[in-house]
Amino acid sequence: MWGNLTMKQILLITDGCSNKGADPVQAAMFARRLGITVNVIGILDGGDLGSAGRQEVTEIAQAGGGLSRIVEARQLAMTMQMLTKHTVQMTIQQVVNKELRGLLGTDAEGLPPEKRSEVAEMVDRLGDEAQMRLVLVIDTSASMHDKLPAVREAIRDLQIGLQVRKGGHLLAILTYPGAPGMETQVITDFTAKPDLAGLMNSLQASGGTPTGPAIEKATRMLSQELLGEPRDSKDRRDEGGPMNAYVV
Amino acid sequence: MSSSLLRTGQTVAGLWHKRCYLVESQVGSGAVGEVYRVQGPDGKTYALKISLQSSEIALEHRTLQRIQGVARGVNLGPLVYDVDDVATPHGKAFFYVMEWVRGRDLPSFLQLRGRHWTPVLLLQLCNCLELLHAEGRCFGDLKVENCLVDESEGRLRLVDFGGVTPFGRGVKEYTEWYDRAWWGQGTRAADPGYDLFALTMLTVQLIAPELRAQATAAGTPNFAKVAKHVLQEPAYAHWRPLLQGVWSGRITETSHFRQMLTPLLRKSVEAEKRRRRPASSRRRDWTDWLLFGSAALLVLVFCQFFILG
Repeated sequence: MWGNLTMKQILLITDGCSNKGADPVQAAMFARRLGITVNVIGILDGGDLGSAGRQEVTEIAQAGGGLSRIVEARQLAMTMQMLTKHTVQMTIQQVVNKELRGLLGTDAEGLPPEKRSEVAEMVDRLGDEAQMRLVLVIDTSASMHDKLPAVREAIRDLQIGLQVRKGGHLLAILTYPGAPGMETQVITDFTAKPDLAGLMNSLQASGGTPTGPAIEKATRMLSQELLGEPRDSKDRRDEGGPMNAYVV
Repeated sequence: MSSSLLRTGQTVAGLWHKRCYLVESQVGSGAVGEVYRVQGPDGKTYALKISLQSSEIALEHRTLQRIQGVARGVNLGPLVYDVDDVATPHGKAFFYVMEWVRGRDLPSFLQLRGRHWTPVLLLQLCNCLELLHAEGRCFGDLKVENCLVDESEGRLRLVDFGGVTPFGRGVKEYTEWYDRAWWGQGTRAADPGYDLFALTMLTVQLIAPELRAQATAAGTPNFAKVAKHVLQEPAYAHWRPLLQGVWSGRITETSHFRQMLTPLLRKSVEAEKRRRRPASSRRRDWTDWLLFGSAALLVLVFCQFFILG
């Protein structure tokens, strides 16, 4: 059953506050109900998100059952890796804890530290073997201009990290706002090796910051990917049964 | 992770094993946790690593425990003594207690004792890595900052085993300059070659520290630039076969790297002798040579052991 474990994550990267469309906190809450974790990174880089921006970053992550960090652009790569990996482990830990409570009446933290490390090793291994479905949701409003090279490098680095996992992964990239008149734009649909060339051209001078609609779009992409007809993809490995046979 | 988990002067009391540690100072903080210098119940100094993430602390403690005692007579990693939980204002935190490794960092050690120490220190590093590799693990986050030299013995110690990763898995912690994948020179999968690549970048940095700033100024990696610099800079003359051997894929095992280091050791001793003869006004005296000799001997005896064993 663990082989079919699929992790669904949205990673939102922004440098400001949403100002258009649906409420991003509500959107994140909805995603969470579908078993999707929403992580948020706020990029500072010289400027400041402002207190409203900071608050929104924290609230979206909380509503989405994920984590949030506010960092400088140079810390982006490491933060993305850390959040992605940590949420996978958190999700597995929750499942393991439920099993432990059923068996022993306590979760991992209630075990003596020596015993706990055995559980931690198991969680670590399962996290490495789990299937990953990740949508990167990237704010490409005008103020992101200077940060996009760092974002691209960080995505490249994330890919390097994902490639060495035992479990398969599919990554999609969504930017917002989209082309004039559009709220979002899918730069690459789910693939193991996204092409990052499109990202650098996706900067939009106008169109506001529709963070909520972007999260909603990412949620739709993830639920379609998981519930729809399994598409042909050579990136998908060892998935004998229906791929959503065991979805956490 | 803005505020520290512990305060100086505070006593940390373990919830399970009930041992108490007096916090003397904070010595560092990283992605996973914070490290403090503490005084244990026996009055001795220890290092305490603490984090809010129980799994990371548990995994690191287990790794250190595993490698403890695998090396005959050599403490590969810091010895671990205790693992426990503690209540903090930020919530329940998790910690382990390890040996306090005393030592001087590599750049200042080399400055004080002389450049001819470089191959000796690298040989010792090779030994550490070889032992770890024999255990099926990669050190991962090998960097100048994670090495200390015990000045009384001239012995190199590795600190911070947070990056130690079983072969085949993705390296847990890394630093761009030393990261094979960041430079586009391979994957980030843990294998002996990953550590060897980091070892070459460490060598490059020890020999000409200014190159690192130059080569990473652009923010994007350009390995050709580093390779070109190594080819042109006279300081690397003796080191080229070794560095290029790893980069071209001819050297993939630590033992091979170690063998290539041995002639360098002799060369650098000779160069140092020549340099010292005319100007004997240097502060270094016979104790330096005694220390150097004993360290070199230690390395050679150890190599012997390793080959026979």
